[in-house]
Amino acid sequence: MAKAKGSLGKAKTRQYDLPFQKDIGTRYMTTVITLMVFLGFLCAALGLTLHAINTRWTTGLEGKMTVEIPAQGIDQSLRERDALDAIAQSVIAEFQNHRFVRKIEVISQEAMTDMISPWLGERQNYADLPLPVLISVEVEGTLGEKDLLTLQNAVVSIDAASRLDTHKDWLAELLRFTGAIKLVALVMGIVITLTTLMAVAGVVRARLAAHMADVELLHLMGATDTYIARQFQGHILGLSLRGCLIGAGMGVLMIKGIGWVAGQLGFILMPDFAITMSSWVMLCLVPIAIIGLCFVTARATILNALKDMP
Amino acid sequence: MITFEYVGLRYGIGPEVLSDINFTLEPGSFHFLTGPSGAGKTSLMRLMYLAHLPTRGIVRMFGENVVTVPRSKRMEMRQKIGTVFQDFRLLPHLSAFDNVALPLRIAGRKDHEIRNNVNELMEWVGLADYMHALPNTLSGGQQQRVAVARAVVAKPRLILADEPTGNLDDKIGARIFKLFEQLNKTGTSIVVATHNLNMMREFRHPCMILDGGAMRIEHLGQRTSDLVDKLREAF
Repeated sequence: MAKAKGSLGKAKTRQYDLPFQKDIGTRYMTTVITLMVFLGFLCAALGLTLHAINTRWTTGLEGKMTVEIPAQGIDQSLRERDALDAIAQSVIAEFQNHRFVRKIEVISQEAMTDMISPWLGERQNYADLPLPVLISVEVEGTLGEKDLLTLQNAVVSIDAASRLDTHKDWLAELLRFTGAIKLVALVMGIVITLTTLMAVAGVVRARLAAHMADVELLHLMGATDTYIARQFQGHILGLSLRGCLIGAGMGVLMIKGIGWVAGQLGFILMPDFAITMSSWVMLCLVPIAIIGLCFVTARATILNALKDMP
Repeated sequence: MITFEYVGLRYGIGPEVLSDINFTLEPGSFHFLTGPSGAGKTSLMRLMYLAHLPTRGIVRMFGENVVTVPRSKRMEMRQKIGTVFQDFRLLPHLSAFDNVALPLRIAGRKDHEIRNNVNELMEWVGLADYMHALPNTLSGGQQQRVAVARAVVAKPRLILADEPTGNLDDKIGARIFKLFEQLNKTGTSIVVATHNLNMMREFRHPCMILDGGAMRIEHLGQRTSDLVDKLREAF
């Protein structure tokens, strides 16, 4: 094949039949997709983290309950430690009579100290505090209402001030709270996705308007709508791929950063922020899904616009 | 090949630019289309290369009514038409080679077939040295030759050329007409819109004369001189 005279005016490798490369707004489009993917990535990470926390809370406490024998009796008087231990032994003896109780033990003084020391600070001696005696109970599976009532009645019959805590009430509150945050994350994810798709549709329509004469030329040569749509799809795919890679990269850095900061600050109330391998896989689907949606949106927008041409 | 029956065309709510156009072009025919400026030549060409649909009347091309056929069928019909536009309409970011190759790519031809056909044609129109040149680095005549090559490369059944020799010197212009004649001999129908009286006199094909939105076909021959004189007056 003969070559052009000199390098001036020599064409680069043909990429698209339409001159998208020179379009104004290409960088803007990439930036929008980058930011949207970044935000979408964070929303998805928040949702997945909360889901993992919920799962850990619920599965960790499933089949577990606690008997609390308070230091104060029903008449509000402080009771001796020996009296509390005696009540604990009676409860243990009673519970061991029930076939569904798998394991029962008094939570040791050391374990109690470990639990409260983050709140009260390091002390030499906790013995002067009116701490309750806690008994950890593990049962087979999930108890029915009848069996639960039997155990609660047994506790109260031994000591009217004691109670059986199945963790249900406070866990339900926490799950409601995390559920609300998950819902907010989901709504934000949907808004981000819709905004991205609207931006893509707008850019495609603007590109079509800018290249209408060239699109008409391709039509006059017999190009089908699908052929022309492929040009736009390819262009949008390239832009969204670049935007998604940058956005996802920023998202990964942000998540790692949050995890590192949380680790440094040592939040004791929350379980760790580490994202599991399965969650990373799910997060990888976010940019892939956005690329796919951008692709489909570009195609649908262009086909819809072209169908009005003769 | 092409039949127009009482065809009218108007843009929006404006007046009719073409009124009651009736003609039939047989397969393998060669016609000039001429008339004074503003007579509607470009509008008629746009109807023939299916950029517009008529506002009234019937246009049949390749045996199909262009208004009632599905859009997909219209796309197929367009692949059978090669068009040389008056303003060339080359894609400025594509090389001369890629501009010429475009109809073949659209038709889904294989790469080696595209390469062979385009190389041969570029050589024939004298642009073998400008394969990779961008259109804006080519002269008007060179761009016109690229446009002609693009129109004929897919061996269409109908070639519509709007002033195809307007920017060419007589030698190259005659060569382009010879190419059209060769294609015409292989069965391709040709319609050339032109003001070039010398070409019309030299090649002696029937003339479709548009005037005041109406059209008549004059056959040259004995009356060539009369017709040319009339046209000269009209232009």
